[in-house]
Amino acid sequence: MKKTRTEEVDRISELPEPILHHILSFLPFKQVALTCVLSKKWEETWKRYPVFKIDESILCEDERYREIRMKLLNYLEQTLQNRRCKDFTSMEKFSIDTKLFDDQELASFVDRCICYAIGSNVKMMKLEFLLKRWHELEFGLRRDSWYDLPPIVLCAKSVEV
Amino acid sequence: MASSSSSSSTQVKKITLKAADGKHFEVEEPVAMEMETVKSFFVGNEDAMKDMVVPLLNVSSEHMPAILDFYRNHSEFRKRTPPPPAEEVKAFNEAFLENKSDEQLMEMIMAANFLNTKELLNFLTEAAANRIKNKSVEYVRAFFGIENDFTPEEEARIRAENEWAFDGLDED
Repeated sequence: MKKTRTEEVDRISELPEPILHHILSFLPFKQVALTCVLSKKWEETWKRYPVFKIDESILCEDERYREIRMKLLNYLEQTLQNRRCKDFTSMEKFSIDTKLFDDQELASFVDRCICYAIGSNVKMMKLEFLLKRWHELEFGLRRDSWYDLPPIVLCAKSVEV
Repeated sequence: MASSSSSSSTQVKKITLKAADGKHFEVEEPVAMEMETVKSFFVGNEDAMKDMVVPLLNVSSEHMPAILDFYRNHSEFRKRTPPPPAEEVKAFNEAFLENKSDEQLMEMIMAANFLNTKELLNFLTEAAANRIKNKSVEYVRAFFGIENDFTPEEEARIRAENEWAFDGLDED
């Protein structure tokens, strides 16, 4: 039997949210974030998406894009903050992978994001930082090039090691 | 010791499954047990197996043959030693998705969700994701028939907030 157009409308949005999240999990994080533009329902679906993945592909690490990057960081931070405040579903995975670690602003952004993620009871956290200075200094690391993990990480109850 | 031949099939225990539209399917027990939903139906109730008909409320008979075919082939792939070459599994999976419309794919995802089989659900959701990967917002909306209920102002605001994410998508 042929279905009418109205019956066909929005067939994927009829899928339960965990299934939508499952489909999104196979897409690049950037595109997942974009699903908030699709419709009001999808905006909510994105807000409850339990995975947060920040890496090179979204950080525009080139110095020329500094301004865009700061805008993006603000947006991501706000998103994380909203999640925690509105007590949305807990976060499954949170990962950051960046080479930009001599950037103080980014470092403090990462600090705050980690706190938000822990505030959202994150279950898996993966942090990968590559220090430029590692390559530049041949005889060992200079103490000030270390990134200090916020102490809260150590007392996060929800993280499964 | 491959899958049961037709001559011995009389010995294989069968389970009757009833699709949403009432159509019955006789399925070999190990294949039926691939579905957690069917399996849980029999937990603590093993004796009843012979004459019980299991109703599958969310699965249309249109998709049953393909779904059962998936279980049969993938359980055979899993059991085989040495494991089948990746190309063989890939060829089966590609053939499975060929000629399936987006709507049929969505219906099968609903079915796999109801039947509670991780392997099939993973496979189908990844297939759906591949169909929209790196596509523009308009494409994704049209593809799934999503109705845009934002006002032009609201949409402009959200787009501006997410400017960073639009880079790298296909043009319409």
